[in-house]
Amino acid sequence: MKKLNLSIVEHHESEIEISSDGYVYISVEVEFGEIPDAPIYVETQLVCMKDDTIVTTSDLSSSEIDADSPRVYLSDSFHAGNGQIPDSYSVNFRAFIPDEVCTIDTPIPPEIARQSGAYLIHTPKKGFLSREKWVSGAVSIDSIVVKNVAGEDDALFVNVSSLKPIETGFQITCASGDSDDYTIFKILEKPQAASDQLRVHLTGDLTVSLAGFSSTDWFISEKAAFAGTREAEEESHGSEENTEYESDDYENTSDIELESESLDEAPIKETTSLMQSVASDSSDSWIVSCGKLQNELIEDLDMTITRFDCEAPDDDGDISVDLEFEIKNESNKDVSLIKYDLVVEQDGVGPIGGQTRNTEDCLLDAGEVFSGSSWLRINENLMTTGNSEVVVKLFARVYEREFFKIGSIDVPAELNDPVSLTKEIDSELLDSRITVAMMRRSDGDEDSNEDLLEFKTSITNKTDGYIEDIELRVVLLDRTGAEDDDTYDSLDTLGPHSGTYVEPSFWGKPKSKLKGATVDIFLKAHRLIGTRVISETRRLSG
Amino acid sequence: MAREKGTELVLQDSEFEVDSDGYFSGGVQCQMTNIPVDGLLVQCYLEFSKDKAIALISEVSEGFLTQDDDTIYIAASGSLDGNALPDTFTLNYRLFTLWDSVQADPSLPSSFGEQNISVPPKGLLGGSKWKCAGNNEVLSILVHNDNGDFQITSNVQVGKVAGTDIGLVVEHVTDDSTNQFVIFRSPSVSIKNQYASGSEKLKSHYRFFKPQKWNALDKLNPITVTRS
Repeated sequence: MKKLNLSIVEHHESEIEISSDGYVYISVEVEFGEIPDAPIYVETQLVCMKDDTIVTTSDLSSSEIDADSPRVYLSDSFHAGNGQIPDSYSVNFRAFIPDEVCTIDTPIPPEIARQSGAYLIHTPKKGFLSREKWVSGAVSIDSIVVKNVAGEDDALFVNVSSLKPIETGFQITCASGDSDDYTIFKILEKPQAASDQLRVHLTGDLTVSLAGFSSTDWFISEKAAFAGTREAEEESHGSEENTEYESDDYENTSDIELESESLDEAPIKETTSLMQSVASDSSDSWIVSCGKLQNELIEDLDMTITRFDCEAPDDDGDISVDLEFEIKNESNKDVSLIKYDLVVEQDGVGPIGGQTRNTEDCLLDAGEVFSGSSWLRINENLMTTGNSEVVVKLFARVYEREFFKIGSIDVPAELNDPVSLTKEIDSELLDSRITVAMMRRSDGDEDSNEDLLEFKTSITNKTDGYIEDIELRVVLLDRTGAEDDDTYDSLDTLGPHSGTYVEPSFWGKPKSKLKGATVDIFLKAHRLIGTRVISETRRLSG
Repeated sequence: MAREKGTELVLQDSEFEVDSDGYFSGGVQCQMTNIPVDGLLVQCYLEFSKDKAIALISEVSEGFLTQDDDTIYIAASGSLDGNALPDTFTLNYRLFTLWDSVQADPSLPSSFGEQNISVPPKGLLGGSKWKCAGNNEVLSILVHNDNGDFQITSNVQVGKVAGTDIGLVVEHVTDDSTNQFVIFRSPSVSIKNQYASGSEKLKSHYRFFKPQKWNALDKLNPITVTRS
């Protein structure tokens, strides 16, 4: 067993939601301290108690933590009777600490057709006295199976073993030319295991790296009280009676609470928009979306217009305007989506042009900059004669993303044989239980050689805020594990405490393609974490 | 054939195929003989080799085997063909043998929708009566009256788990009998929403199983792979 002084140093969100059917949904966010420099994995389990009696224990889950991301989210649900709502919780946890990485140069088999044997089992070389060792801590690689076929369907997997299953984990990375892939962290549950398949386009030397992880003993955190309990139904009608917030974590929103009180004493749990400052001529203003689960939404987000060019009016009087801007994420959150609208106004006239509903996917780490651009046309006949000054207003909204791999389902061999997959997700936004139902049906008449795959799932917003750009994506993998196709269904907005239904599908899939096929299912949703408005006076010239 | 205090794991059948796209699949069926009255938990996986190099390791299959239900099927699949198509396989397994057990009589909710929670009764010296060898203990039992039938959640804590798994079989006896098994590695576990038919009485039986060492059964069995 490895030794590590890992501990839970702070309890953040801890909440219980009680539904009318007696089920209790518990969510807890804890922060670990004394994390080593290199990222580690923690395996965690939430234990909930009522009057010191354990009433429910969650399944185990693994999360990566480091000094920048020390928090872990845990959840659980169970049916509770009268007087059985948990009042406290503790966390069972153990750490998996990385050992020295072992890197292996792997020969690539010749690129030939699948059936003729484009496979190579690469094993440690035999020396005079002993065999070469491919070892990282207690984990060793027994063999690397490489498949090299024409095109980009190359793949490999790794067979590993450990003398200490349960106490060890591993992660594999591989690279060839510009292509690379990695597996998620996996705990060895038996002495040997095969890694997930890694997909890589073999264009150069192939290197495979093994990171072994060794576990500490289990720790049990000190008991902590839940910060809040609420009735799901009553909350959706705006009742405050069952809401109590005592957590210290809410202290850092005290300035917002004061503003809320001044706004007809609006309770902190309700979504409230605040404009902090508005200047008359050239102004910036913060609008902060403030909700119960969105209590840390004041983001340091710097936005500037970096270019504003226009051309002289053409024969029709149209003026072409090019605008560029930058947004710098100075917060500690990842920004995954930016939406913006541009409006051009003139004094005495009002709006004379604009461009709306712009959406850009991105992944802005702290300190990174997003560069955006916009182009629009303004007609000079709409403007006051002799006045070339306009007010440019840029409204930006930034979002963070929740992303989940729901799991994989084997495509049923038979038609009309429904299958489903249920996954508990650690989501701050959506109900934790996601069930995806899948049905294979004939795409046409009985003799059709093509089938369709239908997927259906319901999604519930459990928060007091809006969730945007929700997408259920399904990737179809053929029997070799190669990606064949993908599809998705999406939703622009889901209101507070509301639900909806999405149903992506694949059409016209040849039966031969579906034999032995599987689907991987992913869900993502976005939450507004802040907005930014720039209002600047500019002169149309050129 | 493997032997563990009179029990024998016997390989019954194996079947493997590879299709035109190089997808290898199949499995092995095994039978356990001389199973004790309390049953056995077993975990198995397959190790495939090609020219003695390991080609594929299957996922683990696990089962609660009794005298009435004594077979287990171990499946395997992967992208393997040509030079990597396996020529032998080895079945690896381990047994979980009975460690100790706890008998409980949880209180029953009388009306529809009601849920009772029962905690361990205390002995003369104040110790829990739902505790057994290895400091394994049933901490609470929640019984929900679901339209006349029962949904039962059991919360269990084990004494020492570092570096090992524990097997647990939970059986609820009313007019019928239902059981569920779990193999876990965490300090605590909840077995949630186990069904039992409605009755005036409920006996809950918790059997803890201790893992034995991993063993290999008949190493390097020749394999026949059909091409589909």
